[in-house]
Parts: sequence; C-alpha cells; structure tokens
Amino acid sequence: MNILRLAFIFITYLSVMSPAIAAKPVLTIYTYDSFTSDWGPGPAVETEFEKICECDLQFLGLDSSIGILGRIQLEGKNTKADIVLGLDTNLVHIAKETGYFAELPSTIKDIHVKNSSLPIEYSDKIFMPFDWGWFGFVFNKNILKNPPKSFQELSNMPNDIKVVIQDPRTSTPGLGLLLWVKSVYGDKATDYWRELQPKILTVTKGWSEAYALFLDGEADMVLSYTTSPAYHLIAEENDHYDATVFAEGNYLQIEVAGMLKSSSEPELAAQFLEFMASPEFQNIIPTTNWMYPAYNAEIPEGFEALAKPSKTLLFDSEIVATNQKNWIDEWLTASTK
Amino acid sequence: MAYRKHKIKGTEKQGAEFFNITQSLVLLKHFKLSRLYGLFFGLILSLLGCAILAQLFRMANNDDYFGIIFSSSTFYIIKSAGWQAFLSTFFSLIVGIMCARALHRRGNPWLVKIVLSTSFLALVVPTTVAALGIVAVWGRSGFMSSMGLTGISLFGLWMVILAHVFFNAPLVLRVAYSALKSQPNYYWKIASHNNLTEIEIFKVIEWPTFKSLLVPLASLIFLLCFTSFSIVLMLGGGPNVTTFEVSIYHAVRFSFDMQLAASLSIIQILICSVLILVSKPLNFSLTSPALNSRNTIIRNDMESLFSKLTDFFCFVIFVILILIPLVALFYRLDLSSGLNLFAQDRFWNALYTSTKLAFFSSIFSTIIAIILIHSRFRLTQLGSRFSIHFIDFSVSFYLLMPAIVFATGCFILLRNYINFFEHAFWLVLSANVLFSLPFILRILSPALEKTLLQHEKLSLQLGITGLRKFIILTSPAINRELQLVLGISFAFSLGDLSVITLFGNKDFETLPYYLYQLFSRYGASEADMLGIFILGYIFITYFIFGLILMSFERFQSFSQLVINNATNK
Repeated sequence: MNILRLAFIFITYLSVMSPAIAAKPVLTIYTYDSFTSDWGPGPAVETEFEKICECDLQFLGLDSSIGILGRIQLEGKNTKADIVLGLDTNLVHIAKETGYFAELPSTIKDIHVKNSSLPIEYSDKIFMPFDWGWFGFVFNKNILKNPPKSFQELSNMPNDIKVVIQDPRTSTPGLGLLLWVKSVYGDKATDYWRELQPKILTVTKGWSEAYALFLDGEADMVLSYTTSPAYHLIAEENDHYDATVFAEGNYLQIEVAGMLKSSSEPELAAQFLEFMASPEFQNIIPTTNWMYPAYNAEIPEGFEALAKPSKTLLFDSEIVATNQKNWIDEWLTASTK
Repeated sequence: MAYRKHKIKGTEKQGAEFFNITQSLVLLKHFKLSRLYGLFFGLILSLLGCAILAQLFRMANNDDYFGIIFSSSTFYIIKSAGWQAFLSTFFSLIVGIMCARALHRRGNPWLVKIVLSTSFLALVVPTTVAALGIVAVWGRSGFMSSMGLTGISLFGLWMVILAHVFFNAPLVLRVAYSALKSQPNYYWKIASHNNLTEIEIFKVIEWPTFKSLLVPLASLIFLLCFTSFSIVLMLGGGPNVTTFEVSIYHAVRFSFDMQLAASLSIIQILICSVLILVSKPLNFSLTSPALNSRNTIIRNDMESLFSKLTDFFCFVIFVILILIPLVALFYRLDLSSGLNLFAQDRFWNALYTSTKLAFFSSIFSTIIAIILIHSRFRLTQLGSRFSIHFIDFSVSFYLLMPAIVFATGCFILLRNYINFFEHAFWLVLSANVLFSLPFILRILSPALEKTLLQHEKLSLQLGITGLRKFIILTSPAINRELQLVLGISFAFSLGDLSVITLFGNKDFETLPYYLYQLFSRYGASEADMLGIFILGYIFITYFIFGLILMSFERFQSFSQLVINNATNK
C-alpha cells in the first residue's frame, strides 16, 4: 500500500506545480518560430498590443508554418489558440475545410480591402492578410556571378551549384516553390523536379534551417523571398545579397491570420485582427519579418532597391486544396528517384 | 547404489514438493497483494496498448486501406528504410567483428580497457548528442574536411549509416569480443601447435564462434535501424531517406493524415513482429565481457606483418568511426559563444523540464519494474504460467510499438477528455516509462529474482514483508543493478527525442528537443555546448544515484547481521 500512497503524493505534488492561471485575459496566438524570435516581429507586436488591450498576449512559436495547421487539427476544439497567424493564402481553403476557423467580425471585414497594399486584389471572409512577398532564390552576388533568370537557367546551372529548399509538406515557402513550379510547368513539373534534383543540397523542414545553412556557406542559393536581401542591406549594411527574378514570374505569398471558433476571447481576438491592419503593427513588419506590409504603411528605405518581379503568380486556394496531395506525391516521387 | 540414489532423490523431491505446497499456501495468504499489483500494472499496460492498436485499426479502416498499403510511397518507405537498415547492419557487423578480432589478437589489457569502455560510452550516448558528433566529424565544415579529407556531402543516407554504425558497431564489438574470450584457451594452444594460418584460425575457431551470434545480432541491429527515428530526422536531410517512424511523424504532425499514420503504424508493427518471430533477436545476453580474466592468450597469427597491418587498420577505423565522434564536440566547441547557452532562459526551462521528466521517469519505471518482477516471481512459485506470459506480453508490447505511434494513439484516444498539448509532460513521461520498461526488466530481473529466492525463507521466518523487506533486505543486495537501471532510464529519458517532437514548443521543451532546435540552426556552438552538457549531466546523475544507493549500504551491513543471526540459529 505504501508504494501506492507514495505515487499518489508524487502525483498531487506534480499537479500542484502546474502553471497558475493569470489574472488578465490571455490571448494565445499560434505562429511559426521565426515570428516569435528575438529578432522577429513577435516581441514588438506584443508590447504594442498590450499597450491597448489590457491583456496578456502570448505567442506560441511552432517549428514550421504548416505545422501550425496540423497542430490545430490535432487539438481540435480543445485548442488553446485564439488566433492562428502565419498561414498563407495557399492554405486558406484547406484551413477552412477543417471547420475550426470563425468568420471575421463584420466591423473589420472591409478594412483589408480598403487599405490594402497587396499587389493583387484579395479578400476573404475568414482570413486576414498581414504581410506579403514574392518567393525568390537568394544568393550572394560576390559568389554567384551569373544568377539564373529563369527556371530553365536554374536547372541548367552546373551541378556543383547547390540550392537549399524547404519541404512542401512542412513549410509554406516549400509549398510555395512546389506551386511556383507547377504554375510554370503544369503537367511537366515532375520532369522539371528531376532536372533540378542534382542541384538540391538538402530539403529542410522550415525556412530558418534553410537560411542558416545558406548563411553558413553550405549552399549557394536558398529559397526565400525577394525581400530577404533587405535584411542584409538594412540590418547588416551589406549589399552583397540579391534575389532572383524569373522571366516566368515569381510566386506570391500573402501571409494571413484568422481566429478560431473555439476561442474563449473572441472580442480580444477581433481586436487583435483589427490591430494587425493598424500602422503600429504594419510598421513593425518590414524590418522584422522582412516582408512587405499588407496595409498602407511606411516602407523603409532600402526596400526600393529590391528586385521586383514583372509577373505575379498565384493559384486559387481551392485548386491548391484539391490538388495538394497529388502534387506533393509527384514531387516526392520525382525527388526520391 | 542406483536405487539408493533414486530414493534420496525421491525424498528430496517429496520434501521439495511439501515445501512448495506449504509455501504456496503461505503465498496465497500473504502475497496476494504483490501478485495483484503486478497483474494490475500488466493489465493497464496491455489494455492501453490494445486500445491504441484498436484505435489505429479503426482509423485505418476505410476502403482505401489496401490502397495505402500497396501504394508506391509505402513501397518507397520499405525500400528506403530496408536498404538503409541493411547497409547499417552490414557495416556495423563488419566493423564490430573486425575490431573484436583485432582486439582479441592484440590482447593488450590497456588497449582492451580503452576500446571496451569507449564502446560502452558509445552505447549510452543519447542519439541527439551522437548525431551532433557525427556532423562535427563528417559535415562539410567538420573535422574530416578540416584534415584535408573530403567530408561526406551534407545530410543523407551515408550520414544516417555512419550514425547507426557508431551506435551498433560497439555493440557487435562487445558481444563478439566476449564470445571470443569465452572460447577455451586450449583452442588457441592447439592452433599455435599446428601453426594454423590466420585464415585457418578464422575458419576453425573464429567463424564458428561468430556464427551463432550473427543472426540475432544482425536482426537486432536491423530492427533498430529500420525503426530509427531521431537519427533519420536529424541527419536524413529531406524525403530521400526515411523510415516508417519518420513518415508517421510527418503524417501526424504536418498533414494530419491519421489514416495514413494508422496504416503505416500497422505495417511497421507487422514487419517488426515478423522479424522478431523469425529471428528472435533478443536471445542473447548483453553482459559486459569479463575484463579481469588474466590469462593472456598467445595467438600465433599475432606476429605476421599482414595481421599487424590489418589490426592497425581496424583500430584506425574504430578511432575514426567511434572515438572521434565522441570527442569531436569538445574539439569543435567554441567556448566563448558556446557559453551563451547558459544565458538563455530556454536552456534553463528545458533543463528543469528534462530533469523533472528524467527523475520521475527513472523512479516510476524502476518501481513498476520491481513490482512486475515481484509478482512475476510470486506467480512463478504458484506456477500460474498464463499470468506470467500475460505480464511478459504486456511489457514486450512496447518493444514493438513505435513511440510516435504510442503518443498519437494515446492522443487520439483521449483527445476528447484531455488536451495533451497542455499536459504533454504526462504523455512524454508515460512514454519514457513504458519504453524503458522492457530494458529495465531485462537488466533487473535476474538479480532481483535471485535475491528474492535467497531471502525467501528468511523473510518469512523473521516476518519482514512488504516495503520494509524491500528496503532492508532486497534493495541493498541489488544495489549495483538499481544504480545501473536508474542511471539508464535517467539517461534514456534525458536523451529521448520522440514523443516530444509531436508536442514540443517553446513553452514545453526538453534538453534533447532544444538541442534539435539548435541543431537546425547549423554550426551553432550552443548546440555543441548543450551536447557536452547533456553528456556530463548523464554521468553526474549516474554517480549521484550511486551515492544515494551507497547510503543504503548501511542497511546492507544491518541485513548481513540479520542474516548471520538467522543462520546461526
């Protein structure tokens, strides 16, 4: 009997140790890890929002962007999250199909149409954009003298030029590249992936791993955004980095946030979404998340020097939802043989 | 004479039977509880396992079930994991056996000591730390390329194989070496009298020694590599190299494809059960080779130039594959930026979580193991074979089930009642306990059963029972095993990177999970520092457990006194 009693004491002791409930209302936001890192937008957004909300804003940084959605699906209705921040328009339809997301309140429905500074017209009933950028391959101008100007040139490069990409199953840039290739090559996408295969150094789970690998000099190019060189230009005063602009066009990413039906703080969540469109939030974005702001905001000096694609590519999110599985399987077979 | 002998035997038998019967009566009366505890835990374990399996079947049960099993991606996983496991097994066996031969042939006690303790270290290093070491040696900016030798192109198949060889070659080495050592000395004398050449020695003595070991060893290693998770996750580098466990993780964590996850889990469980049934990989003891046998063996193939060269070559391979990855972290560590680690809150949080986890995991799993062995012992006395098999089954169940599958199954099973993301600690803890149980039982049960048998009559005579008996009589006698078991389960849980990958986040992370996150940043010296820290931590706690158990020694002297008194009567 003693052993059981001992175990019982341990268990009560442990349950007492669990975190206490905070007095202020808590708004929990699930996002990807680089958003919440010290150099990301997270800390500044938290301070700014807590100034106006009388609440405790808590970010939960997950290790990849698509992982956020998976996590919501795993947790189901019991999720702690009030808001999910960091999906992109490609995933919007898949996310809606889960049925966990609530419609935007009518008060903020129009904001993102009215003040939008997106390169295309975009509006959605459930998800609200907060920043955007074009995908592009980032390289060091001093090392890579002749950057490719099209997908064909990319695959024609010598095999000792190495590229790091992200896994389309786990990260939105990876999925973006998959869709980019698909929108350019259509049914011949598999052939293209086969051609590109020898140049791919490795496929990482998330953006930060890939970028770190590139900065460590392990690879010559990395799949990132056309806005990434701005980081080196502004934060590091280093103008050696540039991003590719392809003749076929560059694929667009619009990052979005949405609130959950199961949220216990729906008003607070709505307030945050509204705050996302405010200059306070939007001014933080360019120099921390290194993306273009989604609403009228000051674009800092340095961004004008960035390469601008002539053509913007974007799939409808319903098409992505119906084909995602097949297209990923295509990519898997092409890159595993 | 023969008749007499028979008669004596007969009475002995009768006496024994009589004793057994009376004992059984006593047992029935007094030890009902200790039997029930074991059955109770066995019941819980197997119920949980079966519920998870049933859940999996339910989730996988749709029209497309066969479609998933026979899809090209499933075949690809089998092909990729099988090929990788085959190569890993092959190289581990070759390296391990060659080194064991070389070691046995040289027989220098210092060399033996160094090689064997290095290989022991390699066996207990957490996978996450080992992966870091492998990259420090073989990565593009690693030790090998700094020596002017080309490193292996970053991540992929060969990295994974190198890591698997790092873990498994030492195992082969230790088993093969103790097998060679256990051959009678006159074998070698006869060999040198007849002037057998190296090849003949191999044919006549060594090969027959290894032959019986090969199949169980190979299938054990194959199983370990086939189901490998954290190594493949960290070093696999994309979809090219995969295992079922990694694919299940992907299906659960990212595409939320529970049907796929369930089908893949069932396939993996099936493949592993077939492998285990066919080859019985666990049928050999992992006891450490006798270090203290003094009689040096003179092998007549010692002096030839060829054998000297090959032995030297083997030791070089051993150093490169096993020793250098162990020390590479120290070599590469950039102390000034590595020390940044200790300024991170995340590190201290992870340390706290990991310590809590490892502490409770080692305590719980040891306690459960002791209870299980106790009641197994009582049940053996009663001869209730079914219950014994039941307990064995309930534990070995968890050898087959992948940790990721366990966590997913638990999660789906209970997700309407408990949000495991908030209580992830409990899930990780129970996974650690359950998955270290089979190993703990293997180590603990021979010693504990022997002690129980020895103290049986004595404790009945003196009326010392229950917890008091355990503290006064039993635990001092199995002091060393307890230390080993506590240390091993502590280390296991401190290095475990499986369930946490599903539930971890910045607010809940363990040391290996944090290491995995740092590892993703590449070349972070904090990662090296953390690797070294985890290693040091494991060894220190091992010694602390030893110290705590040492204080039990005073009980031992007391119990010695009791035993002496009892026998003098």
